[in-house]
Amino acid sequence: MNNHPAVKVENLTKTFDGKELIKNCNMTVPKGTIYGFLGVNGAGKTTVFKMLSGLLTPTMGNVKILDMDVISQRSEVLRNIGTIIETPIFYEHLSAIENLEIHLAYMEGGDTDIDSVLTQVGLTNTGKQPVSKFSLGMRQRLAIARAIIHKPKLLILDEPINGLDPIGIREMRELFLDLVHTEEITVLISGHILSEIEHLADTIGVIVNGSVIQEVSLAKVKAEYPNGLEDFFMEIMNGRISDA
Amino acid sequence: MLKYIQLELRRNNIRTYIIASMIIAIVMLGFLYLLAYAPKLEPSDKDLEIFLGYHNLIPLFGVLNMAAFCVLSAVMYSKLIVEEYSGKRTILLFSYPVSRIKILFSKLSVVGIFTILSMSSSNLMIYLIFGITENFLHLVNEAFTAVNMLHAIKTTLVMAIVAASIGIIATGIGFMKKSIPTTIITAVLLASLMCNIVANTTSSMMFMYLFSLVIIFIGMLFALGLVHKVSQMEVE
Repeated sequence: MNNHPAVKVENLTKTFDGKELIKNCNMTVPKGTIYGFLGVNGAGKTTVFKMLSGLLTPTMGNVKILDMDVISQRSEVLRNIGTIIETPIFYEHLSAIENLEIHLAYMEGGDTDIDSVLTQVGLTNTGKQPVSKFSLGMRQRLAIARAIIHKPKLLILDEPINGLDPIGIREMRELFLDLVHTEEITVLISGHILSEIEHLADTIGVIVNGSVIQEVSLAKVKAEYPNGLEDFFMEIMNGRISDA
Repeated sequence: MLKYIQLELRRNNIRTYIIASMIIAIVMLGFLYLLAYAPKLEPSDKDLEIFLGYHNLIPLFGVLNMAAFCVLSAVMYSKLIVEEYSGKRTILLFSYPVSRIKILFSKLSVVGIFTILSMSSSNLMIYLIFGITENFLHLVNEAFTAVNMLHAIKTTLVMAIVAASIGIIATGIGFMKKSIPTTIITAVLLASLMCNIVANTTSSMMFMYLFSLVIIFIGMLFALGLVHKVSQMEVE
């Protein structure tokens, strides 16, 4: 493994109607790790994720994914990442398998065993059932399957465990950990359930008002805050830890 | 490119539109008989003379048919373009590692080709059925000859391309507001405008060709505008 980071964000700024939603944001996600991205609602998590996946163009700054520029090498970047951003959208009248087949065709994923991926995310025997009949948890599982099926090197997951039951959450946690350990995938994950991020992440990044103000390893957080991530997060939100 | 067209066909339920165009064809066949019969309803009424003879009937019927298929194409464009590029659906579309312009072009060609093919084939059937029954019904005061058929085919082809172009113009206007109703209403308005123009100029085919060319040209401009918009689009 080389030491180039999987995601390198430098001085990222995004303005909407003259308002700076993201300002001077810097972020480094080391390869082969899980990065937990935390922030309150409206802090700019989704906006950053959208810029990472080329859905939004940065007003200023640089985004490098796997050493590639998101704007000029968009297709190459998209082929190598898997994303879940906001509520996942599917082709509602098609089955899970058909949805994945179409996704693979666009991704030029080649021969991938769709059944085995569906088993991996615990979505078996859905047969010809259209996605419109799926429950929230099933849709979330299908979204995860779609994000990983073309064997990306980086996963960008915006609140991927929303709607999953406790068993599902644990299964997905094990799946993510397994992907990182066996396939050397890098995972960038956001979420509100701090205890869940605590189970997963190697590094924690906290975004406040559009800039990442803290980037520390989870081991360090655990050493300083034995009661867990929540205390650390609250400290930052109360402004006791200032810009790093 | 062909691959993306096939994928468009796969993920959009194209069968609905095939059924819709068959229904349009059947209704239109009924209309053709009605139009042909109109002058006989009240032989003294001068206004009904615009339906007299094939040189009037064919362009009038052609443009009416165009209006119907134009609305169908606007509905398809709404589904494939306006809807897919609005709201969260865009996230899915833009996360594919394929140039946005290629995807847009495959969508435009799916609807364009479908409109032209379905309209031409259903018209061909309509004229064949009408031509055969005319041999013993004699609704029109002249015989249905090969010249008429050629006229009908030419008109149909031009009108089919016009229908697809008006669809694109309507999409371009609907796209500004990201609104399906705007798209369809624009298509209806433009089609009725075209109907009026053709209805008043049946004496000369030149006018029809001229207006059609203008519409096709404007359609191309709108297609370019769409390409520009989609390639600059941000997913908020």
